Amino acid sequence: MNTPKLAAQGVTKRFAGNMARNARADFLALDGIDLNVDAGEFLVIVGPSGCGKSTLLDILAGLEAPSAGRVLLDGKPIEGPSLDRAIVFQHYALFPWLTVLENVGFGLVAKRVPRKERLAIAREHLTMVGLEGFEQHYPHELSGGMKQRVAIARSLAHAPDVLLMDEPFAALDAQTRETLQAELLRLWATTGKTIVFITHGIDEAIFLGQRVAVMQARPGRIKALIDVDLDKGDGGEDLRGRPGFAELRHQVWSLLRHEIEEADPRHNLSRQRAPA
Amino acid sequence: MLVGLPRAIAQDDRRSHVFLPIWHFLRPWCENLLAIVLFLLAWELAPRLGVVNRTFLPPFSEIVAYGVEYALAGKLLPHVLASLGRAAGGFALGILTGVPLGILLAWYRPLERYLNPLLQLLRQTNPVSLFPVFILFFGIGYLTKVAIIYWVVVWPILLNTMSGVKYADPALIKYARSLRLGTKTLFWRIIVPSALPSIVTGMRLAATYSFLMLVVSEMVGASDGLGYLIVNAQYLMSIDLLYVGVIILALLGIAANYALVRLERRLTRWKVDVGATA
Repeated sequence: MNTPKLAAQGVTKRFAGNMARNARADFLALDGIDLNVDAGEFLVIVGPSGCGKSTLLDILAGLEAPSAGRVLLDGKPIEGPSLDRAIVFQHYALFPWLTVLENVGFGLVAKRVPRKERLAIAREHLTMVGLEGFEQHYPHELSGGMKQRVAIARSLAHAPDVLLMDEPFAALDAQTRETLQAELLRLWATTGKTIVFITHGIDEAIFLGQRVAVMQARPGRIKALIDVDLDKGDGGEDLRGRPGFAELRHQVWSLLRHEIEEADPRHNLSRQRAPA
Repeated sequence: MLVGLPRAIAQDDRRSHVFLPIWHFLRPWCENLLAIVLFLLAWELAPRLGVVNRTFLPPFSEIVAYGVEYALAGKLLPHVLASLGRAAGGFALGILTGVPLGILLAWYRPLERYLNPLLQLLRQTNPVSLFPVFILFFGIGYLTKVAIIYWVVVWPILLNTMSGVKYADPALIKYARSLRLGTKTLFWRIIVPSALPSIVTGMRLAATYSFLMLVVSEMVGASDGLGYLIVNAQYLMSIDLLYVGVIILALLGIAANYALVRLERRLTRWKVDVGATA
């Protein structure tokens, strides 16, 4: 078996609780996560809010250190963040004072690429996401969907091996989201990047992922890994309308239903009352 | 906003299409200048009609005429230059120390924790009450005036720099960390541009305060400058000259603010709305 591109081994994250405010001393956000992502794979992690999926992504990125366990990239333990893993944020995190072109080229600053070359590479990647002609615009002049395109182009520009995407389409309207999902699949197919994508949307998870990791909350664990055996083709046809899609959707939904009920305070209340 | 007027005019002008574009061009100017023109007209007429004593408030046109004459005689410029030199000195010193100190305090939080109480205490110390102290140390000279101006100028610059650095978008800093940017790059490419608008706002406040303290300092101990000119004109009952000094100070204040607003616009071209008006 060849080594996975990115691997989490027993990743655990414990946040020290505030003793003054609540009785619980510690909060176990992630409990022994094992996850292998192969090179060129598109893995989606789906879970209810508060299940620790964003924390997991931060740990994979190297922005946070796990309390226990480790993260391997190409079989080697990671040491903090690095340009070989690019993050795409939900709220874009574009620099408002830089033009679109300068934003896309920003990651290359860290690589010490000269400015002229930087802008040339940026222009190329801007074309890839269909934003040629917007080079000199400022982020505030763009729509949410266009901003996220810029952010995706920016993350690809410094040629990372892995894209880590933290609910990147959650703030977009439904139509823009579907367009960007299809485009992301196209970009993934053309660039061959390894993608770890986090979402709370079941449809989005099945539409995008080759594999879907379903997470549970408190403590954050991977509940199931589901293979998505759908021939996605070129993304042109209505994938969501196929019977196979509906079956998978139901499967993930059933796994998550319990989690969502658990996260809903009303259910907790009724359960606590029951014995009395 | 005048909503009714343009509509009425637009209807009137359906027949004469020549007037409309001219009005569109002139309207902002008319709106801006209307209140000022009325004010100056009242100033002109009140003494002439005997509503106020003309000895205390001469008509505006007389003051302008006197001012032009005084300036052409070469007597005005030395005072203006003396005042500007003092204000610029205090202002520059305020920027040169306030901006780096503000960045330092916001960057190293522990430093702020220890220094902040002292800074709050100093900030609340009335600058006019400190004037005798500065005279004790620096005598009645250039340095005292610069010091007193500096004292009022440094606070808005310092505090605005600190808040500008502190409230840099955490998402941008997180992104920078993911790129593994060095501290120096992070500082120059993210912290400084984030803080710039706030720093310029501080500078605008500082400019206003600097003119205030300039006049106070020149009224107490000076032999030139616009503050001296005004007080001296009062002693000599040269009322025209007194008002010339007041008007020149107002014009300098407007010019300084205008320059800073231009600077602010230049530095914050990327913002949706600058929110700053002259």
